[in-house]
Amino acid sequence: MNRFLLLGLGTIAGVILGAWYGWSVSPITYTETSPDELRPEFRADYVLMVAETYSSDHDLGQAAVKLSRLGQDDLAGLVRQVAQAYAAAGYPQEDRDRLNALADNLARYSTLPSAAP
Amino acid sequence: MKKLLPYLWTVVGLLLGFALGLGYAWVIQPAKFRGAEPTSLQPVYRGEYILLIASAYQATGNLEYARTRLALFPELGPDTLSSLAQQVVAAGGPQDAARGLARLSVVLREQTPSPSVELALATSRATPTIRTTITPESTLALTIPFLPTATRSPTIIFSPTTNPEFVLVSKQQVCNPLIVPPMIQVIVKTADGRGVPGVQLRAQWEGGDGGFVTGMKPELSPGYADYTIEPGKVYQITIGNGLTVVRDLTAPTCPAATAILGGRTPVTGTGAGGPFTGSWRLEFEMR
Repeated sequence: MNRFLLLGLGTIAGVILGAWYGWSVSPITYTETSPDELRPEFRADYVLMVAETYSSDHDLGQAAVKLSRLGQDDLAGLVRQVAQAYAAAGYPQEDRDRLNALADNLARYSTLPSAAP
Repeated sequence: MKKLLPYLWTVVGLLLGFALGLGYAWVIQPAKFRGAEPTSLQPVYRGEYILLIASAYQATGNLEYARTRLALFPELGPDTLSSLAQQVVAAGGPQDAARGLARLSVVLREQTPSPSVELALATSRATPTIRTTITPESTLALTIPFLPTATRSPTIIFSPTTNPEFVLVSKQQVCNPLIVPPMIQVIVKTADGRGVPGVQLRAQWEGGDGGFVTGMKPELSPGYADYTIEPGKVYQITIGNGLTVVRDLTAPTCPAATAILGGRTPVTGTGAGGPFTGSWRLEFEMR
């Protein structure tokens, strides 16, 4: 058989194998990530944890700082979005209550008029 | 050899193709990033995430959620959590997170039986068996971040369940030469005798102060904490929200250890042969 044909067939098979290995067996892993890159389920749980902590310490500033790590401007909207997703997924009412309470307070305080002229 | 030559070309092609395919899959068109896991976060965010787990647990007491969240970090065993709580307290970090870490450490350790509390307290740090409880796991250091405190309230706000009243029920000198260095041992219990982890304490003396929290040594008791003291200094211990204060604690001078040990001369400790510096033990009841 033509050696160039064998080389070509081997190369094609090798490319397929290499791509399969690189995508499926040993895909690129990401390290040193930031919270805004978390997978959706972890982002949602992060928001829930912030709401749980807020339900105890009532420190809205800290809650806002933590939520801002998720890289979204509308913090109240973000929390409300998670509350809706949790409601749809059938999470306990107390989780949703905590999320809604945090969202309400974030919305309330973010719409206060600025003290600066 | 001539027969093998065609196969050699195939192998060369395979190797070349594999390298090309791998380059394509890793560099040109990597697998779609579906989002990061908490374990892949930068150390500072990772520490923040862990503190958030502890704070959330401290706020809700929901162990099921805490367990699920901690399962993402396999290295976080009870010893590591206890060590982290100490780091947070020492660095003046969020106290609710420190309490949560300490409580979690105790709860997760409860599955393994602990030695007799009284026996352990009597020997405290002096016996090698206690020292050996420090496992490599407990030496793991994580970056503990502290968030900006722009709007942080200056005092801790306790929820009704975490704002108990602590009453001093016992205050006694401990003349045990095996307890070195001298320390103030604190035990916080409920009315029915259960140790209470995560209770914040503050030691103050002229020119300094330091915080510590119960539950750091769950092998002794969930409600146990201690603070090393120096002879000659006068200490004041404040517990919880600051309403209960024990003042004027100085390291006592104990008589020769031989008398205490029934004529046997201790081989360790400061009291080998003569008077030595003792410790204090304070017991509080949570009301």
